[in-house]
Amino acid sequence: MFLRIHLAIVVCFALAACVTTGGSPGAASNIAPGERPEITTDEAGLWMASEDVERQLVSSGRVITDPALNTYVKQIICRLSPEYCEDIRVYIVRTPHFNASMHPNGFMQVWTGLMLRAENEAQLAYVLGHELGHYLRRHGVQQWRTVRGTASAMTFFRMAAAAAGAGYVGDIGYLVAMGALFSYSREFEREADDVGFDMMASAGYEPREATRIWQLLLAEKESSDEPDQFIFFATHPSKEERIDTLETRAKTIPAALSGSDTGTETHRAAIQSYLSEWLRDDLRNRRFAPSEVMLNRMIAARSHVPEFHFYLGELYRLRGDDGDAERAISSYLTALEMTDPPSDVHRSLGLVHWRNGRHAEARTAFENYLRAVPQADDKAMIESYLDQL
Amino acid sequence: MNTVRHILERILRRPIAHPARELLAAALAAIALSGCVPNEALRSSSPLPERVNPSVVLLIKPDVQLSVMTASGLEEPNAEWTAAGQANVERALGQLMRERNASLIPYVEPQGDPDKLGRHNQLMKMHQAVGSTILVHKYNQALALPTKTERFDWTLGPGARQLRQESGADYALFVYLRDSYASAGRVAVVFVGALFGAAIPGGIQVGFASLVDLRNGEVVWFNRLVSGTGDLRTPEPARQAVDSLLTDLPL
Amino acid sequence: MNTRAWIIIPVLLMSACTQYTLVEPQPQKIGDFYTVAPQIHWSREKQGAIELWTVDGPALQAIRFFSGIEDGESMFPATGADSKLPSYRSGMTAIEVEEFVIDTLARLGGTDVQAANLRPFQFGRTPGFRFEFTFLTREGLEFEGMAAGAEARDRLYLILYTGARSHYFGKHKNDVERIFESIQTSA
Repeated sequence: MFLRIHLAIVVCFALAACVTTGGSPGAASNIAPGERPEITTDEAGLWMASEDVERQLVSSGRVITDPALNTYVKQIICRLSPEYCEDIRVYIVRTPHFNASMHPNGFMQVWTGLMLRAENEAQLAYVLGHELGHYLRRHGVQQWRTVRGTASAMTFFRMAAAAAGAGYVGDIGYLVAMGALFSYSREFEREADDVGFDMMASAGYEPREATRIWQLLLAEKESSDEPDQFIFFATHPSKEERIDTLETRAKTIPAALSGSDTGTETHRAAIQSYLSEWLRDDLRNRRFAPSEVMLNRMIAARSHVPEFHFYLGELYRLRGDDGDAERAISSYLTALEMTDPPSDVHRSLGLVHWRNGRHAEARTAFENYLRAVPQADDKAMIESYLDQL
Repeated sequence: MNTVRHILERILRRPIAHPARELLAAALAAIALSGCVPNEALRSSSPLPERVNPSVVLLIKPDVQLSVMTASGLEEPNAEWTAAGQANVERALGQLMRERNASLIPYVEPQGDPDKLGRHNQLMKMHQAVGSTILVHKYNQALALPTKTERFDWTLGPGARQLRQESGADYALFVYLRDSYASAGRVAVVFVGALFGAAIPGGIQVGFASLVDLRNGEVVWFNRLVSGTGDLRTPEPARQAVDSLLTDLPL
Repeated sequence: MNTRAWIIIPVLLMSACTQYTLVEPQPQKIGDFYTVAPQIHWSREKQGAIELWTVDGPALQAIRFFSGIEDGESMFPATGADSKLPSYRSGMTAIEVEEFVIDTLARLGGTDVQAANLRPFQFGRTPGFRFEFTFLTREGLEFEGMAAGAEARDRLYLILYTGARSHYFGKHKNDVERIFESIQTSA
């Protein structure tokens, strides 16, 4: 109790500091808990458009409704901000990209690409807190007022639906190109970081995890020469200075007041049953370089999870560069040494062996597959292969 | 669908996230200015069912949105006008139905039953797909389907029957309206443009409506509305717009 | 809608840069590799290397014939900056082709794309495969599909039939089955 009061005072001071140094000219005051804009305001128009997007998203089939997973995410938000907890509706959207976004009417999205990559609850909390910062400080409506006079403003709502609304991202390229429209100004980003960081720290999370998640994202980004395909960076321009700033902030919080919860085990437990699905979704992007960085990081942290090795093998199988066949086989075999490997490992082994002319090994692998999954959906196909091999 | 999407993307110079919805808006807008469109409402090829008097019509919540058209031709959604437009349209529909001796019951989304809500949503999405199909392929000669010449036979599918059981209605009426009003700056632009003979749209009203027979899901009547005048923000003009939209309604 | 679009869209649509033609119920050549024999009328649209047939409109149901996808190519031409659609590799097994198709549909916005019942199928004179699939469109509408295909001359020949689960897939499912059965490949 005593510690909490201290933290609350820290937060008040920090937020006060934010308000006075805050954003652009005419920056609004914080949105109040339960506040709704007057119907005559332009903000109301923005809320109406946001509600439209929210309704679409809810019926799109992309939202994960699993109560356990939703409880996990919601409790982070409520821990970060007990006062605003009631106003936030969070949706977990099955899209294999790292992203979280906030509409001005309190509707928040967290994409499964983010849930997959966050190493622990604290990292997730930092991102959610950052988004809450945008909400609290009304950056959405301020951004709209800035761009509304411009020719590209009309696309704002439609882009909002594409980028942050309905969770569908087909062409990331155009979202990146539209970055100018969507990326908040440096001032807004700094404000959101300040607010989010303070929420995170005062909620008892380890503040150093804020820099960690940027570092791991940057590692993925830098792995590839391809034009920027990271939607999160399109809307949250990142420079090294952001990391430096966060590191410095982390150091300034007195050790006695700093939380040290990382919530690694909680996070792993929450997403365990979704690992296969989300890793498979990630490979659909066919972005081999960043996916490889991600999988290797996961293996380094936990080397005995068979899914990590299996999907690394799948990556090599799909990439098909020189030497990838051997790498794939090696990863599959590693997966098979672990407890409860996915049965598809045998089938994939069969495919790679066969493509590389190793008929005997392919035959063995396919037979193992059918033994592991006697009623496999593609049994007829596999049996026809066994006839040929 | 893909090709039309590609055309729209090339013209608008941006990719389209939601083809069906954008197609709806774009198709309606295009029709607004193109010359060769049938001006009449469309009716089902099959004979209409025996008139049941009084018909019970389930009104699916009209999808109405009103916006301001700024000087540069952009549309900003306006919450206050939308609320007014929504109310006026619903009132006008109620009046019209009473005059035709039909009773109008509002559709209410099922609460606390996710499966039922899911089924209902699928029906609404079917209507979106069927509605945009009709707009694209029946109101534009260039995209006419040879398999649909002289034919008008679309359906929302058997899910409609469940809606009939649950609501007791004979028909469902869908209404979609978009209207934009010139801001002062826009009026000035239009006025100045007119001096030089340029036809600049001030603000435009587009919409469509469809009547679905809930006994079998068939779209028995369909009409689209395009107008350069009209104002949904006040009751009388809203009534006129609704009358125009529901021309030839077989009720 | 920006002002430019108001004027240009109607002109382009009126000038018919895309058009549907009628498919008569008689043998039809698809690309340079095979013919099929439809039993009913269809409306046909050609989109580059893809030929599309529909009765009620492509948003409701469509057959898509992909003729000769080559090594390194994707099913659909890349649009804008989205150049990372899955690509075909010659010599792919049916299992890998199924993965290629499903992953492509998912990348194009299909939600919850699932395939089932992959099995050998005689594509004319060429040993090929068939499978069924389901997905939600980007708007969340439930769709069903069936696919048939084969590799020949190092290229992938694929036929995809998709339609709304409510009424439209089922409406011409049997007609498409007959089309699949009628495939005749050139030597």
